[in-house]
Amino acid sequence: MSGIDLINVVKRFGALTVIDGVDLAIAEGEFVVFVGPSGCGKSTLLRMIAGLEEISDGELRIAGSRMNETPPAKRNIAMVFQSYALYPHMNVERNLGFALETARLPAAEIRERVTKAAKFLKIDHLLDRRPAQLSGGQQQRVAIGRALVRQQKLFLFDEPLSNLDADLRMEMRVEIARIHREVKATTVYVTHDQMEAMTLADRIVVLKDGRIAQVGTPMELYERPANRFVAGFIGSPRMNFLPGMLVREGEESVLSLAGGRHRLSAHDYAGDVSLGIRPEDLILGGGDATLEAEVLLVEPLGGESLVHLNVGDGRSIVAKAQGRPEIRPGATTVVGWNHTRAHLFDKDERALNPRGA
Amino acid sequence: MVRSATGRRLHRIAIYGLFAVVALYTLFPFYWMIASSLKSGQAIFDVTFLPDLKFNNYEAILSDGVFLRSLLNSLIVAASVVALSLGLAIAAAYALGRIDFRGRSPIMFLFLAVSMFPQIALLSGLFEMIRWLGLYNTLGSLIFAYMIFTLPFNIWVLTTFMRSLPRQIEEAAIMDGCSPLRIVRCIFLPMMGPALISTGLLAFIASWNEFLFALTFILTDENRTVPVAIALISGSSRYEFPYGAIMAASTIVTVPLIVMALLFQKYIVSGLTAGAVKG
Amino acid sequence: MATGAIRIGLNAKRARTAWLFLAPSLLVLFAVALWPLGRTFLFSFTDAFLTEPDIYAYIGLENYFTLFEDALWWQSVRNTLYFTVVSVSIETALGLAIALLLNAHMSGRGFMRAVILIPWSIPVVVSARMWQWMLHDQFGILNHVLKLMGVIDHGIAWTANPDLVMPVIIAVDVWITTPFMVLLILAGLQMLPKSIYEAASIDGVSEWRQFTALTLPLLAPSIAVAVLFRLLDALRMFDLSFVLSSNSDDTKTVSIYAREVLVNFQDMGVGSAASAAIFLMIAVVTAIYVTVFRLNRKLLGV
Ligand SMILES: Nc1ncnc2c1ncn2[C@@H]1O[C@H](COP(=O)(O)OP(=O)(O)OP(=O)(O)O)[C@@H](O)[C@H]1O
Ligand SMILES: [Mg+2]
Repeated sequence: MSGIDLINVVKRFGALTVIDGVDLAIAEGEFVVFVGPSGCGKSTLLRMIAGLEEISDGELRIAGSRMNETPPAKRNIAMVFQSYALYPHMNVERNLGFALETARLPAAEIRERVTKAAKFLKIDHLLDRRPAQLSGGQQQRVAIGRALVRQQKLFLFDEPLSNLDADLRMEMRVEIARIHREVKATTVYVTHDQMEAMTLADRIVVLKDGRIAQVGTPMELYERPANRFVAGFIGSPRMNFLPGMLVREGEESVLSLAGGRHRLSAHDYAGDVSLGIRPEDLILGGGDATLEAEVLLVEPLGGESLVHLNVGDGRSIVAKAQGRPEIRPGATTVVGWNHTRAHLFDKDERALNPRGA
Repeated sequence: MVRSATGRRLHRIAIYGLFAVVALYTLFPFYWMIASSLKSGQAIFDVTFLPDLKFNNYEAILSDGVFLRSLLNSLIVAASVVALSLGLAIAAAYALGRIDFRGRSPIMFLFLAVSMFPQIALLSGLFEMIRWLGLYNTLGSLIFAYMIFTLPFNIWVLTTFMRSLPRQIEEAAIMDGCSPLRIVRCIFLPMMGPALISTGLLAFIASWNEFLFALTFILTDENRTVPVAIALISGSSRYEFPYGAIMAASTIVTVPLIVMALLFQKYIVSGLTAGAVKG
Repeated sequence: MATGAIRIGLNAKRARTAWLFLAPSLLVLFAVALWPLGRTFLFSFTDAFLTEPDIYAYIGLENYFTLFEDALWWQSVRNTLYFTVVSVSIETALGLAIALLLNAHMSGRGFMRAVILIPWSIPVVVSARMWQWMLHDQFGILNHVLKLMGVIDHGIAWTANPDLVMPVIIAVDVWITTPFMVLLILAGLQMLPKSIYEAASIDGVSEWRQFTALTLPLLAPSIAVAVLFRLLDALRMFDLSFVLSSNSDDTKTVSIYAREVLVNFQDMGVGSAASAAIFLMIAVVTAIYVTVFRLNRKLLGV
């Protein structure tokens, strides 16, 4: 049992409330990723789990026991930092073994565990080097190795890959997935990178201003964002939003946009809404509903292209199209979507669903 | 500003000329001290610019047990002060530099204020304290008293340095199960080399050179430190003043400091400026 | 698990560690500075004698009356202030000049920096002895050179002549401590951003204007801090006068006066009163200086 329970957890720095009542249950062996805009409190929440920040209010339980007052070392947690935080004056071997040395394990066992972890991470040829003599990727491996040798049930990562270049990032992402598969430790992982979040996470926690905006599997967040914030945050390029008005007409609801009226199945809600459609769900020239649009710019990305469109009122949206569409900037075109792929948000930015859905 | 080639050359000559003047002004007294120390007997009273390379004065001063004893005393005092003040300061600097607790700022202010205390203001109270501790006329009295000017300074400089060490390294050590003591010993101490050298050197120099306390708290010749020994060398009359011996003793005391100043120039300067020019 | 036990937060635990780590230093500083300072003030209201400091009676302000009626005390106050103002001014001006010279981009700067460190790093007693010898009235090199140059006929008794002894002491102090000024100002100079000078040069600002309009104002805080350190040092000057001209009333500083009363006359009461007066004098000077130059932030660095 090594799940984590956060119960109405609050963090204040003086008068400033940074984490504002977070409730979250993380199951044993689960890989949970925290995402959110800069400053939303991801690191703070992670550091509270680690014990590096005191919890102002609420309760943290690990494996069912209250941990608020437990010092970090007694929480059975291993952590990997963004800056790697390797000890600069120790070689790789001592860096890896330092925690075990601190715990006064017998030298032979330290050696064995260090060797094993080093092999596992393919850094066994670097054991004599100092951190300064390692590349960024190698340092990252050592940092992960340092967490691994302790054989804890709980791993915390704070943006571990953000100092690496794109190639290495991908490589290490795969590596971390492999480690999780094999070690099966409960993992909490903070990142800015959606790709990491989508590929690594069992569940993603989207934070905003110190509160949870939504928790769910990557596909849940993508398919059914609970609010406009999550809808905009998950997915790249980000979801397009158009303002509109939703009115009840008998057994149906009607959505009025600047470019036309669209009949939808009945919603309980009526009033100002915003319509959200992902660029990949926009169809050039077709769909259940369509708008007239002027082509502003076509950005070819190779296999697909991003088409920037002006839909009137100076509002621009982005559509993703396969290949390289035969349209030129300045041309007028029709862009559409299917109702099943459209998202509606009320004036409080909550997702709207048709009655009965 | 564009200067002609000759103008530039003149400028360079002028600057090197000034360098030479400054160097002469700074170094000539040392030359004269050493040259005088190498003249024997009455020769010192003839003003000649070249030394005779006679070592009589050195023989005299070094065969004098009291002077050797005072050299050793100075060494013991300075080394103990360095060790003690660094040990205490490292612990205090960890608290002040890395832990956010109520009372931090007032304590920093207190240390700063203490470092500005004039020594003379403490003399009578310190006299009493040293007697009470049973340290009067022992080297311990000086080691204790020298904490006044070494400890606050060291704490100040080391706190600044500790604060500049990366936070995540300490946190990694915390997660690795290190106690604060172990963090300081195994993680921070090895990372603080330059700062320790700077503060250690300055503490050494200050203790080696101190005069007022050394003059006041030590009563007997065999416990004196070098500056007092040199200050108290005197002859039977004004005309028998043993300048040769004094110059030889001064040279002996000065040479280690000069070597230190030349070798560790960078550390001394950075320690001095860290103490004074806080960014 | 922790039911019933008192829950101590992580921050509280860390704060406790902080106090634990600070305790030895605080204890030592209390014993070596705060307590003695308090006792000095206390003794200044008693008739204690150094031989038996345990036996004393309170006599109010009498020691201070004795002190303030002593012309020698006032002379040593005047000497100290005169010495401080003149020597610190010269050292600042000279220090600035040498620092600017060293800051000029020239090879040999490292060597010069080392050279200049030497007078500062050796014991003041040694410097005093060295100069005493060079200034010797009969055999001193200075008189010798002056005679060779035909400036004087008879050797000048530099440290015995009441009109000359203070200037001599100031000159030696300048030799000893100008390096300190140079190093601090040099450090300040090297922190100045290069780009503003490049910009100024492109704008055709003359070098002199660059110095007065850019360098000096930017350097002012560094100089101010360096001067404060020197002020504190000069106000408590002891060794130089003690060795170079121990019996002269013309160079008696307050520190020498206080120690003389305390140790030579064994009068702990008046000696402590003098010490306390010096403490207050320096505290006031420091407070005024720090306020005038608004140094609080720079000094505390927070
Ligand atoms: N020690 C502190 N004192 C005061 N405020 C703090 C402290 N640490 C963090 N904060 C504030 O708490 C908020 C959340 O910080 P946190 O580091 O958790 O954000 P984050 O989500 O990790 O951001 P990023 O993605 O940039 O790393 C920020 O507004 C930050 O300014
Ligand atoms: Mg963060």
